[in-house]
Amino acid sequence: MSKTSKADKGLSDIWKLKQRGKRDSDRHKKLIKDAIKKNGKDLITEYNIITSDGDKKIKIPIRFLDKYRFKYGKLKDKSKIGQGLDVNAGDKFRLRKKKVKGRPDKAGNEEGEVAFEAEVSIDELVDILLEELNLPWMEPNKSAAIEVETEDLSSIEKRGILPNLDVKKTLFENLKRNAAKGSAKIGNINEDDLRYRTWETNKEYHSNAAVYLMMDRSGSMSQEKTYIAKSFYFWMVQFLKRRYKNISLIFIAHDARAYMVDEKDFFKVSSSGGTLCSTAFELAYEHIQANHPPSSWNNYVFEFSDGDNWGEDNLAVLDYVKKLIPLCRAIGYGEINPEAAGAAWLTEENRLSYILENNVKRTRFVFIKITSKEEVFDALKMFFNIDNSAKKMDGEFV
Amino acid sequence: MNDLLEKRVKEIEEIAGELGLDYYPINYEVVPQETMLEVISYGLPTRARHWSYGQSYEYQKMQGEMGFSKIYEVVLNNDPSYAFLLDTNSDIANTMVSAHVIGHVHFFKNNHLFKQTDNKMVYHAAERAQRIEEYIQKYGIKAVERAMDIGFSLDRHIDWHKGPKRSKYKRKGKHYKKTGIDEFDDILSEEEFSYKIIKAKNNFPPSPEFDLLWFLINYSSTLELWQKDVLEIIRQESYYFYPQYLTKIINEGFASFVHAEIMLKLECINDAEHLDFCRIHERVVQPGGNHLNINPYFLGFSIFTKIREEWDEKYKNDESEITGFQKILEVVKSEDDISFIRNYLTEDLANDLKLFSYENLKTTSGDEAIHIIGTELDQLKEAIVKDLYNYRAPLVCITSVEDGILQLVHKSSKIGTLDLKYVKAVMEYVYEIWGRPLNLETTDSEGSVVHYTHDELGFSE
Repeated sequence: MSKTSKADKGLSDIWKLKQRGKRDSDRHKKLIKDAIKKNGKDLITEYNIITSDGDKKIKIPIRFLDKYRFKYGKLKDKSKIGQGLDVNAGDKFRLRKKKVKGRPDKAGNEEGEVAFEAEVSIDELVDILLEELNLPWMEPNKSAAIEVETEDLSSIEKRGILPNLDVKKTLFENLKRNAAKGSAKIGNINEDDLRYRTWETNKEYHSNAAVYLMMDRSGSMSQEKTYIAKSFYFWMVQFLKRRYKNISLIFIAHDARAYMVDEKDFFKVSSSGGTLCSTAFELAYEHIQANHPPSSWNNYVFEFSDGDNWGEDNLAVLDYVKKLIPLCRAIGYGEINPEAAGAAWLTEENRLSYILENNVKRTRFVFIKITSKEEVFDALKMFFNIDNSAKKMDGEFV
Repeated sequence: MNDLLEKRVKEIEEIAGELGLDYYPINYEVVPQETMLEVISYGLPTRARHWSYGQSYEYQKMQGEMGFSKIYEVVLNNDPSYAFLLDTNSDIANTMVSAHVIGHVHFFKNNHLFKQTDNKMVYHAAERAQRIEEYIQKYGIKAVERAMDIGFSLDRHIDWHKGPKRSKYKRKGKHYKKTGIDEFDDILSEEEFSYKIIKAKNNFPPSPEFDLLWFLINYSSTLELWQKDVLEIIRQESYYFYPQYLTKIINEGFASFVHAEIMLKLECINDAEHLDFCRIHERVVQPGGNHLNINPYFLGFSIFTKIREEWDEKYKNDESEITGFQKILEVVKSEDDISFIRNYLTEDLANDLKLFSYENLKTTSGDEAIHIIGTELDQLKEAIVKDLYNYRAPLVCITSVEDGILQLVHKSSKIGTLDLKYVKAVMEYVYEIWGRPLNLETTDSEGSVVHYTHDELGFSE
């Protein structure tokens, strides 16, 4: 009996401090996260997510990790055994539906096999997929209104939950206590020795940021192109809101005119009309001038278009970009150009991208071309995973 | 363990001795649900860590939270044995469980399949876990995890008859044999022409090899020592668990039978508690509300009850030299689930239990339905035992190695086809530890032979 004989120490005593189940389930979770990261490209343009209006409660099923083994596919003999019914060969019965809600489905009838789905919320996905993203070249300003919360398992307390037990510290406390009694060894661990790590919320103060999200909604923006732009902005908004509190997001949709819209409408806009990209830049420029002086605001301006802009308007855009650069931390321009959908009349030189690429050579002007929805993930990383140390290399206008 | 339970266990052990039960000493530990879930997730709680135990821990926790499972006990096949009881169970429940555990430990000690298992496994697993921790320190968690993933993907492919401890194939020396006299013998009368000495084909492996891990550990040229050790550890555990897999019905049936016997004889419980015991016992050995499933406790218990009736009757009529209970101890010694069902599930009992075999159907409207195949005894037996062969894994063996190419053959396509998604994944694993190309021969659902290859270019059909 575990209690009666000291030589035969109970096995459970040995594990109690190890928390093996917790450790290995953490490991499992981490591997799932890695798998999600690996499949991020596919997940990030998942239709159901983008059309969810950013509903945080939406759950995306993620399969538990599989243990691969040789397994039967189609079985010839599918007979099973039942009991307690008076039946005859050839009888057929319809089964009453009695699926318990939330009960995981076991795969097939394989005994002991675990195969069911875990669920991940959008916030969790943002944390997993977009954890290293941030607004580039942010500068601390005097009127600090933006908080970034980070949590650390750092403080050591005498009370806590078992999974957070700090074994090293606990053993050390035990050793200390035993040493005080004259024998410096580990043993007889009791309540007093236990030390737990607890979460500490650290608030970092960041400076004000205003982000302008602008999107072309002209007739040439096909459903596919719009979808790409919306996917990009959807995740951008998710991660910005998750990372930065009190951030100011300004949504601008434009065709031949620009409109400030609210977030919901922004993601609902449909396409029609001509294109004058400059109108959006103009609106952003005026808004910044009126509301967000660069002395106290980190301004960011993003535009997504297919680049099918009126010829002379390209120069007008260039003009505004030049005016905006001194007012902004960064300007981003994404051009969506699915190869299949090249308009015959639109030559390379007439694209907005051509004009901007060749005339704005600034580190803080970030330009990217997207040809398919699979590239959205990389585009996000390109915009928001910029090495901040590059800021000193900023060149002059050409 | 509280004093009351401790006292009771002493009395239980006395009764067990009188019954002639023979078991390893048992360390009882009363643990909280959390620990119990861990024990059940690991199966062998001292073994090395792996993410899959974390997964099953999560699963157990979920099941527990939803109230789907009520784990009464876990007992480890070891000398001494370790039994875990839940601290939230009532004293009477744990009294019954203590008696139940004795049945299991008698089974571990006496059943013939377990003679081949390591009855110091709890300690060996702990030592091995320690080695794996060292490998993790040295080679990193990823590399060790990878080796373990690969090991687990093949661990059900054992060869029970050859056993866990084997030496390498004997090397055949250069073998020469004389051919028979050939058809030109008459024309070429000189002796040296009529007898040829040829090199015998040196088959490798000499006969199809079903213990896949054993073969790869011994004959792969790319595995490092520590990797071989990891794979061998997993292989050893698979041999350790195999008898338990193959004796679920008989072992649970026997343990239930034992606890019922002991509890009837136990004097230290009062009438109210005895009533409680009857209720719990009913729950354990009931057929279950789900008619499409069979409770192994119930089936095994029913068969043993029937055996006792019959043999007691025979003993009374001088047709048998042993009593029903003695017969049961014999059955426990020599049978596994397959032979237990084949030999002792009788027509009468099948009728009593209203057993039937069935198949799932989908109706045209998409509803779930079942189709009753029949109630004929042989059909029933087959439906029960067919999943028990080979750990329920498809039979795959290594038939040859030519120019370094490993030839695998799927031998049980009569039972079913292979799931291609898993074939691909496992072949990639095998390629990694074999280091050279491999082929797999199997049969598709149309019945034609197909070959899959994994080589430096990856998988191909």
